[in-house]
Parts: sequence; structure tokens; C-alpha cells
Amino acid sequence: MIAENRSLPFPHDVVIVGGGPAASFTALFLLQHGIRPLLVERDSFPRFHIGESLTGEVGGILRELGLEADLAARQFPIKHGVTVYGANGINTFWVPVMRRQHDGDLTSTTTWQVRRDEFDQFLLETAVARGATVVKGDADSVLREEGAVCGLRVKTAEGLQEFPCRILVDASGQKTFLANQGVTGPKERGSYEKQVGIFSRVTGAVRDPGEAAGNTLIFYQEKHHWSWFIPLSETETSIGVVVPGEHFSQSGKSTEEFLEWKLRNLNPALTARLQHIEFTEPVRTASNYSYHVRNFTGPGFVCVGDSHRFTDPIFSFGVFFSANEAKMAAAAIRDVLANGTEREADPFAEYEATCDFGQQVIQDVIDFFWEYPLAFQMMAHKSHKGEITDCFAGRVYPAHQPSEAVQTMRRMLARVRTPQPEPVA
Amino acid sequence: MSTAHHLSILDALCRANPACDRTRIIETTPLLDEGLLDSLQIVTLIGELESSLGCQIPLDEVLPDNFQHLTAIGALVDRCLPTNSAPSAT
Repeated sequence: MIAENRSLPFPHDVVIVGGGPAASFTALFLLQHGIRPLLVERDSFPRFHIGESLTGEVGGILRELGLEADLAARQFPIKHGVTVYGANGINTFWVPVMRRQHDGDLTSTTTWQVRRDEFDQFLLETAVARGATVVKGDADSVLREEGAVCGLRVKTAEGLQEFPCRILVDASGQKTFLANQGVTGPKERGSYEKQVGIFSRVTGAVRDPGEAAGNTLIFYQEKHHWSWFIPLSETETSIGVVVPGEHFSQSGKSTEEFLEWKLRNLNPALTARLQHIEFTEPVRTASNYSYHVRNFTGPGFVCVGDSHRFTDPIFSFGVFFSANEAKMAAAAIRDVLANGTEREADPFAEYEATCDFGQQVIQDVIDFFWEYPLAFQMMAHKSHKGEITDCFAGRVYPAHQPSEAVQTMRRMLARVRTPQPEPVA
Repeated sequence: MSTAHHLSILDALCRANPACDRTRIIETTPLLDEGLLDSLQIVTLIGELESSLGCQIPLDEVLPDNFQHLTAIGALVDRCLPTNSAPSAT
């Protein structure tokens, strides 16, 4: 349970909708700039969440925030990389967790697999311990003044309360609060909108030996049919399958039956690891998770992470974007507050363009992986090894992209891409 | 595809996948469907073809259809020899 601060100092310069990683990272970076935000979170923590595998870049950000010792104390599994199994269960390719040194050379590093219930609570508690305030309540609507967002109306146990602010940050994740309010552009369908994820946690899954025990495993079956295997503790593993929604609905099976069925037949290497498992969580599903929102910043507001875009979970970029965008948003908010420009037409235009740029690079990498799996392997193993590793190491922004590899991907994808999707109803 | 190319491609295939029995592989043996060539072995095969035959296979050509059987690989090699090569994606 996160402690609430009942003696609220009004008004806060920054109010953040949400209490997940995008919200907590934004708060932690704002606090580094001397800005004490107020966070509004509906759920009681800890609460279940998927998205447990972190990229190397997130590991770096956690270290930058001084959280490495705390994470080590929680004994989250150490991730050295990702092994992707081909359809036959024999052929694999390895994507190590890498970072660029100051001299530009690539070097191995590690990151963590996190139990999101614990991790999210830890981040939020750390933000509170460092000076943020949390209000438990449901974000209801925005306050506006002369076309600018100037606060948040919240349903709390005490009733409807108003929290005026200079900047409202939407870090509500897939709830996309500001898009639902009509403040941003509409929520538009993404490329993987028709996929469904069905997942749970198990004990008894067989891992790789030694230090490889904490690594992520991805099992490929065919285009858009795959499974994840993410170690969460000494004994527990997150297991999920992702398939086209139509494949699931036409099977006539319940979610439990479907998951067990797919775990038996999706990939022989996966099946071999799951001979003696027991489920430790209910089977859950996620669908309609691929979307994007345009015009996600404006006078008095800014969106961070999943609240404006989510593509596909295959390469674990969810928390990566939350953490990176939080850092960039906090710096932009600091400048906007210092200059008093929050009511101007486009105070966060540069932040928005940078976010879109980075998200598009990763969308292109993921699209290319699915459309041209052989060419992707060729690039990852032979022709563009360093540039592909760069993408996974978080070098997705204008200082480093578009690399020759990403330009090649875009040229090849242009032949198969369909026109832009329609807005979500 | 010339006989010389055929033999070089077969050699390259057997280096990429040492489990291949070259006496059982003919021009139209379905290499992918019979599990004689998987995706990582294709990456190895491309390197072998490029070094032994002097071709340059662009990423645009790294498609499953071009590795279905020896005939398809031979046609790919012919297209990618220096005298015939189109502008490369790499």
C-alpha cells in the first residue's frame, strides 16, 4: 500500500495521471530537477501487470536513478539477453543486452526481469520517499482554461476533487486518459491491433543453466504466432502466447484450454521446457493493445509511454519507452516551467517529435522482423550486426537514427505496408 | 545453372548444414520443407555462397522462395553474380 499524503500543498506545478512506471519515472526525473509532482492512481498497489522484461537501456536508467542496489536486494533475475527459437525448436538466434561505451564500442551489460507488482510498487514508493505525493482516486476529467489544460478532476473516496496544475502528464498507460477525454488526437489502431496475448505464471519450467537462467526466451511458430518465457524468480516464470485474435476465437477453447493447448504445440523447444509446470496465477488476456495517438502534447499537457502509443510486446520495449520518454518529458517540463511557456500552442513539440521518431524506429524493426524474418536474421547476424544491436540498446532517437539498417528496413517495408489504419471506435 | 555452380552450391549447402546427405539431394529437393535448411543455416549458406562464388546477395533477395531448392538457389546466385547484379540493399 502506498502512503497517501493528506495535507496537500496546492497547487502543484505538475499532476501525473497514473502510478505505473511511466508515472513513477516521470516523477523521479522531475524530482531530480527539483519539481515535486502529484500522482493520481486508481489502483491499490501491489497489483498484477505484465511487461516484466526490461531492455538494457532501462537497466541503465535504473542505475542512473540510484536504484541498482534496491533491485539487487529484491533478487530480480538478471537478464543477459534474449534467445529467439525458430519454428523447428532447434535453430536459435541470440540478442545480447548491450550498451555503447563512451568510445562507441559495444559492450555486454545486464538488465533485470521484474515482477511488475513489486517493481511498480517499489518505483512509486521511491518517488514518494523522494518527495512526490500520491492521491488515490480515479482521474475523471480535465480542467481547462482558454484552450489549455490547467488541472485534473478526480473521483476520490471523499468525492470529486479538483487539482489545478500548470502541466498535466498523462501516464495512464493503455487507459489513454487524455485520448479518451478528447484532449489529444483520437486513438488509432496499430499494426498489431488484431493480436491477442494469453498469459499466466508457472512453476516448474526448465531454464537454461548457469547465468543464462534469467534470460528471456522467445519461441516463434509462424508469422504473428509466438510465445514468451520470462523468469521472474528462482521458481516462477511468466509464460504467454500471442496469436491473431481470430485464431483464438475460432479454436472454440476457453482461455485456459487455449493456453495449455498452445504451450503444447506452438514450438517443440517450448513444450520440452514445460513438461512439469503448475500455474500460479489465473490465465489472463490482453487484446486491442496496439494503437497510437497523435497530437499527444499541447498547451498544459503531455503524454508519456503507453498513454500515446504501444506497438507490440515481442522485444520488451514497453518499459523502455516509459523510462526514456519520462526522462525527456521531465527535462522538457523543467524548461517549460522555467520559461512560463506552458500555455503556448505547442510547448512540447520537440519532445513529441522525438518520441514519435523513436517509437517509429522500433515499430519498423518489429514490422521488419515479422515481414522479413530471414533478412532480419541476416542483418542481426551478419550484415548490420552493430546497427541492430544499437536498436536493442536504445539508440533509437535522432542522434543515431535512421541508421543504414533502418533505412533498408523502411525501403523494403514500403513494398508491403498497407494504408494507415482507421481510428478506434 | 551451370554444373560447376550446382556443385559449388551443394558444397556450400553441406557446409551450412553438415547433416545434409549430398547423395540424396537433387535440384528440386524441398530444402526448407524437409528441414535441410533453417533460417540460421541460410545466413551461413549466404556467407558460403558469397565467398565461394563471388556473388553478393542483397537483403531484398533473402526471402524463403529463393532457398526452396537448389534450382532456386542457383537462379539467385546467377542474378547476384557481379556481371548481373542489380543495385544492392546492403
